[in-house]
Parts: sequence; structure tokens; C-alpha cells
Amino acid sequence: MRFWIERLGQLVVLLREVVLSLREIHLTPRLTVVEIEKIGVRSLPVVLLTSLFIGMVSAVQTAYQIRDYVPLDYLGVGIAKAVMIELGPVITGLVVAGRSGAGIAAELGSMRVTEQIDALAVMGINPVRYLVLPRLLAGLISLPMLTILAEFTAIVASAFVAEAILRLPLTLFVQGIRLFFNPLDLMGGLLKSLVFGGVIALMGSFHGYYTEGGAAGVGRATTEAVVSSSVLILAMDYLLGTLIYG
Amino acid sequence: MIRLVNLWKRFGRKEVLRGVSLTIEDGETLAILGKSGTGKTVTLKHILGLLYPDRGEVYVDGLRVDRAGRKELYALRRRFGYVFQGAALFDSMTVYENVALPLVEQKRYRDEEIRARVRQALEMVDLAGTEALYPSELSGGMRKRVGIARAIVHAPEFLLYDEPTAGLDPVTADRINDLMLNLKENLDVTGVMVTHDLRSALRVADRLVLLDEGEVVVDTPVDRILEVTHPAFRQFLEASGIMHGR
Ligand SMILES: Nc1ncnc2c1ncn2[C@@H]1O[C@H](COP(=O)(O)OP(=O)(O)OP(=O)(O)O)[C@@H](O)[C@H]1O
Ligand SMILES: [Mg+2]
Repeated sequence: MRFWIERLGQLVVLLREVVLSLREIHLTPRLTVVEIEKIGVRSLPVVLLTSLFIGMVSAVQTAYQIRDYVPLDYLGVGIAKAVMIELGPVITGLVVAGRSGAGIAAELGSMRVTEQIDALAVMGINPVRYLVLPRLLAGLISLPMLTILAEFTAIVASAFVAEAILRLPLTLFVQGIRLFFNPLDLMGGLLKSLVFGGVIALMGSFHGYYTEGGAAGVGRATTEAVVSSSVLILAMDYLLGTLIYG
Repeated sequence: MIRLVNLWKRFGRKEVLRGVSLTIEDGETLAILGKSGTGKTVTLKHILGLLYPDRGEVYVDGLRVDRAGRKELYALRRRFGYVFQGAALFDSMTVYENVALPLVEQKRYRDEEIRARVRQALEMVDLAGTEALYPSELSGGMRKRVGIARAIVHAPEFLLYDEPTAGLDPVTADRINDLMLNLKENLDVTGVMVTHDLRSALRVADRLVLLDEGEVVVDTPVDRILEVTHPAFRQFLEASGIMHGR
């Protein structure tokens, strides 16, 4: 119990430092670009690959689920909405949590145990401004962009499977999406992904920044970053889902 | 002047510092000796607010470090150089970038001046020509010396050395001793060195302190060490071959 209260205290301290370091935000663009490359650009292949398969399987399984009570003409709109509201943001979030959340925690964790974070502080450089803020900004910027690309990929992939395997003409698939498109679906999903980006970067940074106990500690920090950001993503998904669509 | 007053610090169950008091006058160099794990590094980190005491006070030139605001603290840290026990080089940066960082971040220097100072600092530790290498391409002793170059590049008023000669061959160690002596005598640097190397301490320091189980048990000018009767200190002298039996 005491342990958890201490952890929470550390998180609050870190958040406060992040807010205070916003005053020096003009110093971060260069570092942020580097992090966007690591968190965003290098996650692109795995995110696109996952969404490709998500789109393909959605087409097959949704068709099976609705075949007795909904005409197949509505397949496109059903998949598009599921992808924009739920699948796109959540799958992208979980994939990036596993990849970049772990990466952030490992990087900051090893900087902590080799005293590199102390070395920054000694030079008069605020380590939170230098290390955490750029990663947080990069997470907030990267996730919505990755999510849009993931959603596009998933929907295109499902349309192809629908045409090739289920014999649903592409025009019908697209028509359904057009007819029922609601901007709230897209925007709500992107808002979720923004929050997930923040969660991933924050959990990675938090566990890395407060790493203790050498190489073993770095390993622990990495695991904890992935587990906590995955759980938080799903919890926030429910919360935001209720707020936006409930 | 650096003044530590009755510092207490615990980590978890372990009481690491138990009432440490020390004064380091301007222009003086103090050597802190002691067994592994007695709190030498922890003591050093309190001077710059890298760690905060549970009880006690830290003063540098009248500023209460453990109560200082972030602005004062960062301004103070820029007047210090800190040689970390494990060098703490940034592994994503080249040797040049590592040594230049304290200057780059202070934004007071023009590019040519930065280049000149970095070159000079690297020459002082016999590492001219290594600018383009990454820390992973250096030996342990070379890393240590890059750490020293980085600590002195901005000509600080205070230098904190955590085992500056550990892991160096005797010839290189002597070069580093000369360098520390030179900084003290010609640039009037105030220094604190943590060391196991009594030869180095006797060469460079004005005063020796023995830390044992988180307490200062001996505090003596260098020229009076033979008068000290404390058994742990005599053991230290004997083990270092300074004194033979009784
Ligand atoms: N951040 C920390 N968290 C928990 N314990 C710590 C921390 N830093 C130091 N300690 C503990 O405090 C004690 C003193 O550590 P310190 O690093 O000051 O030793 P030292 O005298 O420098 O030893 P050495 O000569 O081996 O470097 C050790 O038992 C260490 O485990
Ligand atoms: Mg130490």
C-alpha cells in the first residue's frame, strides 16, 4: 500500500515537473523531432501490418456475424465505424505501447542507472525538459497520425477482402460508408488516440525515469511500462467511450 | 565554501548517512576516503541537490541548497563540474558532443569558442583526436577521462570528483593527479574528491576525511595523517603501503 502511494507521489511530482518545463518548450522542437522519428516513423511498418490483418479479418468475421439478420450491403459501414471508433485507436495504441513504451522506459532507465540523468542535472539542464517533454510531445503528435494511417489501411484491406472473397462490389462497400459517415466517429477515435499517445509516453518515461537497481531494474521498468500503459489504454478507452458515445 | 551540516539520509531501511558534517573552504581540496558502500557518492550528490537529506543542511557560498528554488539550483550547478564514478557519458552522443554539451546548453559561447575549449579540455586528459568516437568505442579509462574533460570544459569554480583515478593505469592516473593539482593551484578551483587511491589523495588534497558507516570518523590535514590514531584510518594507511605495521 505504502509502495503504491509513493509511486503515485512520484507520478504527481513528474507531472508537475512536466507542466513547469512547458515554459522551456521553445527549446524542445529539435529533440521532439528525433522522438517522433523513433515513436512514430519507426512504428509505422508494424502498425500498418497489424491494421492490414485487422481489416482483413474484420471483413470475414463481420460478414459471418451479420449474415442472418443484416444485408451484406451494410458490411462497409459496420467495419468502418468499428475501425474508426474502436479498433484503429486501441490496436495502434497497444502496438505502440509494446514497441515504443518499452523503448522509452529502457532508454531512460539505463540513463538513470548509469547516472546520465544526474549528469544532465549537473550541467544545469532540466532532465524532465530534456528527456520527458520531447517524448510526451512526440507521443501526442505521433499516435493520432499513426491511427489515421492504420484506419485507412484497415478499411482498404477489408474492402479488398469483401470484394475478392465475399463478392461484395467495392461500390456498395464504399456507398455504405459514405451514407452513414458521422464525423464524430472519426474525431472521437482520434481524441482517444491522442490520449493513448500521452499515456504511452508518460508511462514509459515515468517507469524509466524512476528506475532503481541496475540492469535488473531497467528490465523491470520496461515490463511495468508496457503493462501499465496497456491497462491504462483499455481503461481510458472505456472512459472516453462512455463520455463520447455513451 | 561548501558546508554540510549533520546530514542524515536513508534509503528504504538502510540509514546511509548518519550525521555527516563537513566544511570545504574556498580553494581547498578535500579527499573523502572510505570503504565501498559507506555513502561517499551519496554525500557528494547532496552538495548539488541530486539527492536531498532527510535531515540536515547543505550550504554552498551561503545558499541553502536543500531548500533552493529551481532557478537558484540550476544557476549553482553551472558553477560546478562533476566527474561521475561511472563517467555517465551520453551514449547517443560523440565524445565531442558530450564534452561540448555544458557549453552548448549555457548559450553563452560562440561556436569557435566551443570548439577551442572542447579541444583544450580533451588535450588536458590526453584524448585529442577522439572527438568523433562514441562512448561505446572507448575503453573504461578513456570514458572516465572524457568524463573529466566534460567536467572541466566550462572552467567551473568547484569540482566534485567521484573516484577520478579508479580504473586508470598508474601513469595515466598520475597525469590526472597533475591535472587536478594544476586546476587547484592555477585556477583556484575548490574540490572534493572521493577516492580509494590514497596516493592520489595525498598528492592532490589538503585535507582527508574518512567516512565509515555514514559517519565522519577522521578529519585531518594531509600533513598530519601520521598523528591520527583511529584504527580504521591506520588500517587504510597500512593497506595503501603508506605505513607499515606499528
Ligand atoms: N538511489 C539509491 N537508492 C537506494 N539505495 C542507494 C541509492 N544510492 C545509494 N544507495 C545505497 O547507499 C549506500 C551507499 O552508497 P554510495 O554509492 O554512497 O557508496 P560509496 O561509498 O560511494 O561506495 P563505492 O566506493 O562502492 O562507490 C549503498 O548501500 C547503496 O546501496
Ligand atoms: Mg561511490
